[in-house]
Amino acid sequence: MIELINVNKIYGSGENSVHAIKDVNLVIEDGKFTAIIGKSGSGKSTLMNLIGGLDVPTSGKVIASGVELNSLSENQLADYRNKQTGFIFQSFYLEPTFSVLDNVAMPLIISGVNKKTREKKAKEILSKLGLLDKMHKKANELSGGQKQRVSIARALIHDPKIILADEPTGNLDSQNGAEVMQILKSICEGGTSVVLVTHNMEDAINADKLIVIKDGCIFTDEQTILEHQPILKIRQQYEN
Amino acid sequence: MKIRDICKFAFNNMFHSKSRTIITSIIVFIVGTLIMGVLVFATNFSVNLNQLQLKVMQNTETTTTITKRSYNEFGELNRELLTNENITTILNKCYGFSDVIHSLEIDSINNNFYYHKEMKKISSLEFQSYQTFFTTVNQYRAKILSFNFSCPFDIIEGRYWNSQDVNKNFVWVTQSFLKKEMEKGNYLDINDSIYLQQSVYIYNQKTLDYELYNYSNQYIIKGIIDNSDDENAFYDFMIDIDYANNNYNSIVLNSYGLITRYTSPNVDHSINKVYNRTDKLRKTLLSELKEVDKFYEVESSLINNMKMLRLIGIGVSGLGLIIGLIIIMLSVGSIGNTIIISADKNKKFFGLLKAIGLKKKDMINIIQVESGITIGFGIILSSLFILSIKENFISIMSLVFKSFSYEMSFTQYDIIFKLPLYIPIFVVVAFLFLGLLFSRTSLNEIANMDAISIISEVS
Repeated sequence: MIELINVNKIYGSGENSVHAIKDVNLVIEDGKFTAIIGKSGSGKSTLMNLIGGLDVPTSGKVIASGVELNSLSENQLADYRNKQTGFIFQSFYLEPTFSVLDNVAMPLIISGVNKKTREKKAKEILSKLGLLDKMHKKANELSGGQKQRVSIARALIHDPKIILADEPTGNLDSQNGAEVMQILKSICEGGTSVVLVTHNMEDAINADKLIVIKDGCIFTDEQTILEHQPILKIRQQYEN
Repeated sequence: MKIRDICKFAFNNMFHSKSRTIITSIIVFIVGTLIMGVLVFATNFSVNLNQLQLKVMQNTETTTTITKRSYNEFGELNRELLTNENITTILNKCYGFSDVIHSLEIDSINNNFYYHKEMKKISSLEFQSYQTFFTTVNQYRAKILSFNFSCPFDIIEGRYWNSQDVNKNFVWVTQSFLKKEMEKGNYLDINDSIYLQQSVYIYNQKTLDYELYNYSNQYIIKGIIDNSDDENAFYDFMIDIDYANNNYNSIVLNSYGLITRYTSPNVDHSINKVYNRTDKLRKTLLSELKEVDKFYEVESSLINNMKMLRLIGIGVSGLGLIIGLIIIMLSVGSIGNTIIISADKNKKFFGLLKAIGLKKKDMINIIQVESGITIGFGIILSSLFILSIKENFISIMSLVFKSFSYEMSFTQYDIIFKLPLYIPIFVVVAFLFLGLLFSRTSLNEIANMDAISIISEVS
């Protein structure tokens, strides 16, 4: 479980400061699919970065599995990112000259796992995602959908407790986007928490928990969500 | 991270910026060639100088001569006998330098006694001889001391002494001896018989005293030593002291001087070490041999011969090092900048790696390995280039050393050329260390940026 208590994030100082996250209190439950939706600049990526230990709050606490991330050293925080979280980025951030296998194994390379073990693990995950036949290809030889699946495989290789996906379908066509969302859903069904940050309401529709973020403030009650995101209301009416 | 993976990431970064890597390597190659050229020249100059000095040492008298002088009533310089105490002092001091001293020759008026380097067995040696130059010969003939002896100088009429001459009653005489005899009315020539006598004090271990022996024998002149123009021919005979070492515990020599001969440098001794030791011995002896109304002359042919060569060697080596360091200091900025640019160009990659758990230490390691490989590649090219133009180095050095070898009476001196491994290693380490030192602030900034900032900045 990840808990955010009175978290604020302010960039800069003085008149030029930007209050990106304002007094956020939030609980991300284990094994749940949480979607954070908001417009561009609303602070959703910042929130994800705080959850993932990529950034530290200006004030407040981020507690992951009982450990307060603020209190961790730089190296401990790196270990947290490496072993307990898996990141999926909109732009994939694969290393184009590395093979698919090496890209997937990257977190294990960083943590010093030997080649045999990491390749075995990478092959297992690639097999699950239907990319085993592509493992020796360079990352830049793949299609967008394949790249994102490789990115997902990379995020999963350490068996993280939480997957943080930042606009994972942003660079994909609708078919590939749907496939990626399906994979994320199945990951969540496997017991791993998934936090999805998106502005695409379609992606968020099947989340266990919806969080709307606007101007750095989060809203979790259904009424507010529906107010802020009318498309959900229409969808709800349609489903009803 | 494992070193293998760090290297893999470093190579990947280099691959990402091929043109920058090539340009960096070219810069390193050019600057490295300049630095290594200077260092290689200085080193080889030093090596060749050492070799030349070695040849000088092997081909010339490399000695320290100690004599005791005083002025007589007419203000003329006289050579005086060294006392037993003097000899003991000198020997004691020389023991401490047995690593470089090959032998000691005691130069008396009439005799030269050749001391083997294992001189510790000898406490003193006394030969009182005053009749002829041939005391030693007579001692041998008298079978008191079975010394082998040999004449190290050219004999115009006659030949070198050799071992087959043992127990034969003939001698070689110097022209000065014949002249002296002629003044006495004795017109001697080869095959003439001469009668020689001498007195010898031999230490008797039983009585703990010296016993005087007088000997005389008849000899046939077999050869004449031409010493008319060569004062060195004064050293007519040399005694192998091995025998004396094994047979006598105490021998005393009254002599007028001591000549220290030095061992040629071997694997354990560079010419500089021999030089330094020689100089130290010379100074030690001078400081030890103090008397109020006497003075000693301690002169080293080795030091005299090599002073200029050493000065030139030190000058060239020092100049090479200074020029090399100046070039390194001037070029380190560009090396440092390329390191910064490299890290900056790969920000996106580092940002991703940081996001998935890369530690600062590993990031710095990747940058260091990348820089090391790029610099190392440039320096390998420099090394190959220098090896390819080694003939030019040899030609330049030949110009210098040919004149030296001419001065030193060598007709031929083959220039040695080496590219010692420590030079490229030194240049790589210096470049890497100074380059990273130069770029440390920028690298730290990049390393300390959080992953998202890096990614966002690049995106």
